Amino acid sequence: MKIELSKSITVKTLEFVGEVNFFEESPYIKLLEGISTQDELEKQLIEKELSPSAIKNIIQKLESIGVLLNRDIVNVQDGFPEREYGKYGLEMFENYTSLPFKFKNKEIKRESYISKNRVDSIKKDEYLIEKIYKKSKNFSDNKSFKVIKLEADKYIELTQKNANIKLHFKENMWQYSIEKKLFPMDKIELDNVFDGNWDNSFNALKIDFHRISEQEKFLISFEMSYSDNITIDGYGTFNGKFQNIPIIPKTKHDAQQWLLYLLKKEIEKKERYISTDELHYLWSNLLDAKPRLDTFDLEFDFETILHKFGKDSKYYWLLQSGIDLYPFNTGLTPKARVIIEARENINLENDFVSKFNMHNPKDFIIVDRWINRLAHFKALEQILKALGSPKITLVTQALDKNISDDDAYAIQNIIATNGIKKIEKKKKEIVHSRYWIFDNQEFYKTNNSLDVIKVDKHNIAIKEQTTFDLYNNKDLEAELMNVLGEINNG
Amino acid sequence: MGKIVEINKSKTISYKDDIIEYFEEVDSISKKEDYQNIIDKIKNAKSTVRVASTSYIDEKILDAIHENLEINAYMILKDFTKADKTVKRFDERRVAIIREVDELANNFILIDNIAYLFINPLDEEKNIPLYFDESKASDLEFVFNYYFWNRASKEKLINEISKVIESPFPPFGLRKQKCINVIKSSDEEYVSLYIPRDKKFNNILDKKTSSKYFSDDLSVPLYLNENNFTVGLFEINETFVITNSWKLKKNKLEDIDSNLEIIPRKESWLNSIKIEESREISLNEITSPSIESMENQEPYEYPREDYVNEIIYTWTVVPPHKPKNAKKSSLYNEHKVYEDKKKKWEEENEERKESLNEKKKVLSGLNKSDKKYEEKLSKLKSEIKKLEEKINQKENISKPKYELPKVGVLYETNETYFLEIKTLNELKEAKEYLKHFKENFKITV
Repeated sequence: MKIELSKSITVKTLEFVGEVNFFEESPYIKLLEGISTQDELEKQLIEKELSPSAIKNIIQKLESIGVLLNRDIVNVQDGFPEREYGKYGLEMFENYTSLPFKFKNKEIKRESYISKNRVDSIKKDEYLIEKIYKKSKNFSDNKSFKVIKLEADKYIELTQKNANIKLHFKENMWQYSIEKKLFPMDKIELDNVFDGNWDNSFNALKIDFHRISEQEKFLISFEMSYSDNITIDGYGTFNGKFQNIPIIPKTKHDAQQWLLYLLKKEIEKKERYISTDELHYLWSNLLDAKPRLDTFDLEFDFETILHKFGKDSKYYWLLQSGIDLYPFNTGLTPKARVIIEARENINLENDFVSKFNMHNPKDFIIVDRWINRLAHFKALEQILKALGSPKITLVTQALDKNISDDDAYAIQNIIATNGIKKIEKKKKEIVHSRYWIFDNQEFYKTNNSLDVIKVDKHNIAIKEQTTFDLYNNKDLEAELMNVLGEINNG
Repeated sequence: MGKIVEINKSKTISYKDDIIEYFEEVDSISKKEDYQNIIDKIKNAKSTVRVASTSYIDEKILDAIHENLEINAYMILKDFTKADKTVKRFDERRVAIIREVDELANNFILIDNIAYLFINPLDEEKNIPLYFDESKASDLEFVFNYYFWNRASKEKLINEISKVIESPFPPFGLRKQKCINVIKSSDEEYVSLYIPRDKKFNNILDKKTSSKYFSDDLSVPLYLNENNFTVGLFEINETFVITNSWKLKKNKLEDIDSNLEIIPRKESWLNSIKIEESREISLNEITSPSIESMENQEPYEYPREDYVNEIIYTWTVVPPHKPKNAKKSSLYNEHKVYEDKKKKWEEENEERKESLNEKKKVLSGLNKSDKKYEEKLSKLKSEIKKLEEKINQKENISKPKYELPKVGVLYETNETYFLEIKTLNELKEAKEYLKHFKENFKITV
């Protein structure tokens, strides 16, 4: 993420008569090293066995050049001030905003030496000094100087031109640059930069979907780059260049539109008929992969997805046909039904397993085509724990080809740790319905896959109401019985 | 013995015991109706219409689908080529997902959650629909889905026809259903078999079935049991009755009521006939190979006329005739030439005999004093000798190969001689004459 805010500022050339400290190398610097007060200095000088008068002279000298101020040693960080009086040309950036400088000196140039006595009324003009900025460094040689006194009202504005100031935000740090010189600055709250649309929990810009609805790259990457004129309170208006700004939907509606957009792309990529189950799977995968969408608690809604496509679009039919021509409605009434309501923070033993009429099953078989991502295996692991670690056989397809090496490793770990016997088959070879079978006698058909159980650290949630219908095995699909036969025959 | 003439003969043959297969009308009430009811249902449908058709689909049904744009339309057609005009009626303006399923053998329409199974293909203007309510329509729904997802080879999706796109479901098999089940073939035995009134289905009647019918209501065969029936590849656990039908029967001719309209199985099935009690069939003249066999000459065959109890055959036997190209035998000419030559030779010999007598007379009267006696004597003797030699010389005229017949007139062709006689009393003489003949020879009238 990079932000570059630039604006034009005025560079004025002034001419004034006054007193300026130029900070130079000096033996006093070494003397004052580690000393911060007059008392420490005097103690040091006494230890060096200097006479009281010599000590007094040094103190007076330091006071006169402003190094000792109110018994504190100041103004020696950039060198030892050498005070001069004369006529100076001063280039100064002029800025009336809350930018890190009000008026930053660019360069001071001694025009001529003028005797102090020749100036009639020399007096301090704090306002002007303040405006000029007391302490600065020349852009040319980086030498520090400090304007101490100006003859009252005696500056002349000679020329005025523009220079560019840029504020940079990179690697979570703000800096500004003028004429290629980079300076640190205090941070500007990103919420101010983005007009109150910065999400601090996701560190992302909240954005209306319609603003980027045509920008496929942004919608897919969840980052956007753009240029815009922005106004930041107290900082004025900038020409902004925003690169790779993380983005997040502004509202739930935006999130839904966004997810639908991504889902549509997935559907278009597949170029084939997609069942509701697979669509649900794609939906869950997208949410897994895009936490910035998942935070909105979007509910799977087939009709809404379908309406992204018109009836004259083949994708409408690639989705709708699986609904209209769903072949697995048996019309049979289950012997019993277990309903698990959608809820956050559930206890799997009390709120899930106990609803099944059984105790500590010894043998557990899951036949489900869609257990192929880490989230599913995490959920399975929790279910197994809640069931009392029965012998588990899982019939499913190969892992999703898009999962990372880390996830694949974590899945292997779960399989090994929990003794999961995984029978991998081609997707087409696995019955479409999902079954949970306990001790080879309780056959439950369920409407959701394991991704309905969301395991987030210690919080386990059921994302959607899920049903488990108990059937007699004579009512089950022949294809399922074939698979079970394979399992039982080893 | 009189003149030889043609003989009229007759014979009656009974066919009463012949067994025939025939159709006898049972009833003529048709169960066919137009599609108006179905069209109204399609127009008022809320969700989907699914059509399975072995042919193209009647335009009025398609019009209804076009009219109701709310519903999603799916079709399976047996043959895209034959149903081309149905396939072409759908595009992005009115989408229907259409798949080609070669093994489809039935016609049905699912409208939302009810269904109509049609006995005949949907290209017909009238049909016999069987209504299935929600509880039974689910069987047809499953079958439609089974064919659509598992058995299709091509599909039209919006505008393009291509191979079918991968199904979202794993392949699944047929299942045992309560009302409608798909069978592999209708080979098992049924109580009744109904076929269309179309002879191309005739062979199906050879199947073992108690009762067999054809019906004007049908375009496809129908197999019925008491509680179920089979049409196409659907076995339907429902009772079904065909009212318009002709039953196939098998009976002796004499047992078939001659007042009954029947359609013989082996004839055209378009027209009916009645069994006739009797019919006379006049056969062509028969030329007897010989005059002797005329009396017993039977026709070469008694042509069969079906569906008649007895047939009286009549025919005429005519005596053998010489062929038209037969010419009067050359033997006659040969004999004439021979006779002429012989006569001439005999006449010449008579003349020579007269001359000989004269010469002999002259010889006897010859005067020896004649100074030329010797000379004349010698000359006469020489002449007499020559004449005697000539007279006694065997005639040198060859006879014809055969004698001429004593009765009748002899004709001949290149191969055969024909002796044409007129009466039976000439026959004996003709046969005698025949004995000497070594060539082909026939006696004709």
